[in-house]
Amino acid sequence: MWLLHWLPDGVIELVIRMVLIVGVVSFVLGLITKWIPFLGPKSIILRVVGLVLLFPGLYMWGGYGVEMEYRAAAKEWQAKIEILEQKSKEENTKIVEKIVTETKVITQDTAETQYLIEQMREQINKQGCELTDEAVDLYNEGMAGRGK
Amino acid sequence: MDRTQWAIVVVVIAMMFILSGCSSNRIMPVTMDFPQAPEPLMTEPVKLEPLPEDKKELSDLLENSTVNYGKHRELQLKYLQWQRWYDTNRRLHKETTESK
Repeated sequence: MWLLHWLPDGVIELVIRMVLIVGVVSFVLGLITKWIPFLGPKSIILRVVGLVLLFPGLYMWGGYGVEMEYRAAAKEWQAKIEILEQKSKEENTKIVEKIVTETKVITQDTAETQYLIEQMREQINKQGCELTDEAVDLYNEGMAGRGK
Repeated sequence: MDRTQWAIVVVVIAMMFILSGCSSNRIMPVTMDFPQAPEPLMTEPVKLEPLPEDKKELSDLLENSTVNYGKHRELQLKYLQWQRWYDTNRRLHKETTESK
């Protein structure tokens, strides 16, 4: 029933109802006229037309029901996904805010400690403790890793 | 086959045809995009600063360590936010797909 997907709901329902009504009326008229003299032999045409319309009509009516359920489910899913996307965006905004705020705090903390080290430079270095080249290399290797 | 048997065959075929109208095996035309991660989490991670060869005093080492601790805290913050982002999106995805 993929064909129904391209038509608006109202049009589909109207067409199917019309087919069913015409089919039922034709078939019933065919049954009634069977007993009327002179019309009797021609009533078969009405019955055949009725059945020819009734079967595809019923087929389409079933397909229409499935199509409507399908469309409702798709709409429901779309709404859920929109809510999910909205919540995800809100969470992203909160994460960005947290990163920006806390990065500022970290930068400020580092700057303050650097300032204090600068102020205490003489006091820190008064023992005359100096790093050797090997010590600097070891320190840097520990940071960058040995697998260069 | 007599007339009654023909009628039964026609009715059965007609019923099968009518019932086939109710069948559906279509795929839902709804797509869910993979959630976009926040921009600060997608940037290149900062690298630790090595101690320059000419900086050999204890205060230089302290200063370098302070800068690197700051970078570590920054990376830790981003790491935790990655986990938060993942947990939230996983929960949202679960809530959406499991709710009726």
